[in-house]
Amino acid sequence: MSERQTHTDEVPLGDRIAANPRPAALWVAGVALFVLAEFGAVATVAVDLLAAVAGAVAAVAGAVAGPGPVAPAIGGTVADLLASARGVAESIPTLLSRELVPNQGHKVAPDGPWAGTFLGLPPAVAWGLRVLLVYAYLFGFLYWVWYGYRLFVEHYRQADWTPRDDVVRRLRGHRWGQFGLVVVVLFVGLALFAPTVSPTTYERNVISPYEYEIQYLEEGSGEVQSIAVGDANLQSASQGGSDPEYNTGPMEYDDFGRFHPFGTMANPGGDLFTFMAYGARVSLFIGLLAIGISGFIAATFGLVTAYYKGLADLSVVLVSDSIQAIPAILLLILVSVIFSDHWLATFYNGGLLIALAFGFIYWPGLWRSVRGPAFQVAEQEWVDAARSYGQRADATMRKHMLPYILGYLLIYGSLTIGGVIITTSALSFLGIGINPPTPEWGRAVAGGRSYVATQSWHIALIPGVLIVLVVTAFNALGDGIRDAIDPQSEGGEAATEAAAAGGGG
Amino acid sequence: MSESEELLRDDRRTDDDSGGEPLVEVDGLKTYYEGDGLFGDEPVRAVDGVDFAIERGETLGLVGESGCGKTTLGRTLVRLEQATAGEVRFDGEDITTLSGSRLKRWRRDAQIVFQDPESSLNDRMTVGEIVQEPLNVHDWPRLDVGVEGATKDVRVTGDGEATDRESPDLVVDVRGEPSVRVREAVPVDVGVKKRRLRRARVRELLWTVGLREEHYFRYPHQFSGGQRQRIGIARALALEPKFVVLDEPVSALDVSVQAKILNLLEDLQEEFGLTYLFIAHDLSVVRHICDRVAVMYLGNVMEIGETEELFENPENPYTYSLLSAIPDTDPTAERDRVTLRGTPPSPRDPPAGCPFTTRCPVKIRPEEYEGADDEAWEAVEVLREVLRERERAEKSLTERAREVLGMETRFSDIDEVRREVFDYRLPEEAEAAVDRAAEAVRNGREDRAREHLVEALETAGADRSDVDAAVDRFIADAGDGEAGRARRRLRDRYGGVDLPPSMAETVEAAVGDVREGDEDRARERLREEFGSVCDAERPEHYRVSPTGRTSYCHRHREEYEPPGPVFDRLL
Repeated sequence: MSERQTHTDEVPLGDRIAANPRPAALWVAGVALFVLAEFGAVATVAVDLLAAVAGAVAAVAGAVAGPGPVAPAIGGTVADLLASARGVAESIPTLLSRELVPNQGHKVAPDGPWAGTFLGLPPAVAWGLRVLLVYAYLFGFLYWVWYGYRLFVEHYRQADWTPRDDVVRRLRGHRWGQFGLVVVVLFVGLALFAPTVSPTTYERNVISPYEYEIQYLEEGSGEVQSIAVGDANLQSASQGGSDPEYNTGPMEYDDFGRFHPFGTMANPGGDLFTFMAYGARVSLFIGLLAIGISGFIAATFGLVTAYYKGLADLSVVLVSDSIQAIPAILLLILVSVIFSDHWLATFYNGGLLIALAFGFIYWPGLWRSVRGPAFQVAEQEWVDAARSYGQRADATMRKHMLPYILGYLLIYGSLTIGGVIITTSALSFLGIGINPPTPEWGRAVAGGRSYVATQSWHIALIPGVLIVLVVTAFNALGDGIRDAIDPQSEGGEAATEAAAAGGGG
Repeated sequence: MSESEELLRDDRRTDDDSGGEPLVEVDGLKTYYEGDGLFGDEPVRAVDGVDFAIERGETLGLVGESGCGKTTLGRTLVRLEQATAGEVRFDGEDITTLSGSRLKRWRRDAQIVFQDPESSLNDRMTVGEIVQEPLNVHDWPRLDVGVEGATKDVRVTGDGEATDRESPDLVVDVRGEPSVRVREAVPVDVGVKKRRLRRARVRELLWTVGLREEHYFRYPHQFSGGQRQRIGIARALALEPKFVVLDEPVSALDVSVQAKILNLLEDLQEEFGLTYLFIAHDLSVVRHICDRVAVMYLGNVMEIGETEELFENPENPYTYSLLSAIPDTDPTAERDRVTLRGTPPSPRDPPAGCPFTTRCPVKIRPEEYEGADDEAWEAVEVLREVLRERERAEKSLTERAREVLGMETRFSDIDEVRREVFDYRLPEEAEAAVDRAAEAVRNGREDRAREHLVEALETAGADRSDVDAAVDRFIADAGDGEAGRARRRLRDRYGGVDLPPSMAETVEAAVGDVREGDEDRARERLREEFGSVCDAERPEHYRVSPTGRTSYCHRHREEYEPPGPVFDRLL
């Protein structure tokens, strides 16, 4: 009887888990471990988010209520509360932090051990250990999510097969797509954990290098001395030429006992890896935001034009053609110049502005690529069927059409995100778009341009190679997704299945 | 909603059985698709003025060739297409103008089963979700309350909703001891969540259409065509409709599966008192399942009546032709087939008269041509058809431009058309001379043959200069035993159309018109000479049998001979 029950009645997921709690409990315990290891960081981010929301609310409230004594008072109280909460959150130790595995220190004697680093290890090893820890955590967490999905399929899903199974199966055999996925994860990890994986901090490297001092072992005198970070950066900057004195290449220590995985930058110097890690954040932010905006517009228009056709389609065609007729680079330049003093341009030194502009520029292309599939789906009889029993238009689009174009959006989105990253870099290379000091990969290439033929080749080359790699990886990922959800092979299979079944009523 | 509701007196049963009023009445229905061309093209007249009625509980078959508008008609009846003109009365209410919540409410009563089981089910949803969706959309069950046996107005308090609907889910009976009963189709005790009720309903529906309960969580991918069609049927039945349009529900299926699905449909009709419109192009299926049949051609219903009677004794020329296409199961039976020439005209530009006029084998002829040779008559009809087709053929911009400039277009070669359509013949004397020449070649007398040929060609009025070449050619062909081809070549080159003189004159004049680029005049000339009432007027539906069968044909008018005898003579 109970066997029959599980077959026929749709039991809520909660009940299904209650019936067999062991795998789910194990998995949740695993997730808890992962969260616990990073609880401090998670709490900090949560508090920051709260603060941002509170700030926005206060601004709106202030605007609505007008100038008065009440709003600022409450705002101030809330701000104090949040600040103390942030303090508490920051004080919670986390696994992936610079404090746990520090890599900044100095030698106490020319051959002596290191002081201030993790277990007295050389800074390079300490840094490597921290990066390793970060990525182990990241990949471990992703694996755990995947494992959770497998558990769900095995123990809790009521359908014995869903179309998604085929997609997953095809993706598992797709090496090129997997390569893309791994590189994208590495890139996202770099952006996400930028403060942890960087050899030094954003604050010291970019914002105010003259407010911090470091200690180092003076080679000549054999004494430990202090110097401002800014001065040290200046002295260890890579400046081309052929004198090794004026260059700090990849995987080298500078004169101040600091390890630079990617070498140092040109005047005024600074660690290139740190610059790249924070630059990845900017690129990812712009890429995701731009694709999010344009993908949303494209999906909405795709569904609406395919469902209503006729005039709706024609007007979107006209609008999108007009947008595509504008040279994108010119428009971006125009936008950066016109809005340079606008408050929008203050976020990320123009990053938000650029992302919005990209969202506006890229949606026609995305819409074009989903328009065909959307029209195809709209012709399916199940859409007519939905109409015949009175389903609302928006629900029909969401339930019966959107799932079929989401895959295409994913493909073209991941292909376009590479384009966004490369265009952002191109803009920064040209000196527009994202202004200093916000780090951007393209500006690193621009800065190292004149040193390409010298011993300081790394300044331009490493960012350049990384741009190529990341863009390629996003394309590979897009290829993989496309092959995985390829309707062609899916349709072919369905046809052969039907032929093989030969009816059977 | 917790305040008390005044419930309506229960007098609903009376209008349900209101005599023999049909469930669906179609009155002058037209559905046109707008043209999308650059030049404001004519609309496609998919359904072009149709009247009929569907009685409660019956199955009306709708047959016709592909493209005759039968699917469009079915879709219009369930409001998947918007009618251009006319009315569709459902229970006496015109549903072509419904909108908003009234339309949504009516949609529960009329459902459709689609032709293609591959395309009619969303592959990303489980079978359970698919069948349940209509229930969700209409918030089924509504748990509305009806009151029975009240001799005066009563008040009922509760979370229900007052309704005048015909079959409320809960009925409060206040005769004697008040009692509440739940309608049969609502499967479980009330008090359970609606979601559970719906799931139970879905499982019941799956069972009803012959699927197993464990199919609930499967995806359509995992089913065969027949099973998928069963899912589609379950979905259509979910809302307990009165009327179901079956749009070729079995034509995509294996023959063995077809029978099962047809039986299922019949069982369901009996069980739930459904009314069907059964669209099909498979005549034997229609004969099997339908009570009455409507035959459609080019957006018009040509004949409609009782199935057996119509199949046994078709009255309309189109029905006659269509039925003669059914293969006979008895291989020894001698049966004459009516083979229709050509293809139906474009629904964008249907004939002005009877829709079947361009292909009708028993088209009414003008009196002076009653006795004309059938083949000759047919050839003239084909020429007219070609000219008609040329009129509506899609012309590209360049072709239009060339036409305006008086340049050659691909439409200009009328001589080729003439050669294609008509047989050619030399004058009688020349034919006789050619006979003699062929005879001479057979006997090896080439010199004699040459003499006869020269004589023949001169009689036919050939130009002296190229006669020799033609003669050589003839002798060579005839010598190879290809006398027929040799003769055809001479006829094509020097002969005229093989028609009685009165007809030949008009045809040649029309060909001359086309040559001068005036196709309109050519069409006009042919119509004046050869046209009849079939070309000029639309017929009416004539009652052709005591059972109320009607046929859409001029031949049922008193002054003309009915189609039947004409067919008998023709075959």
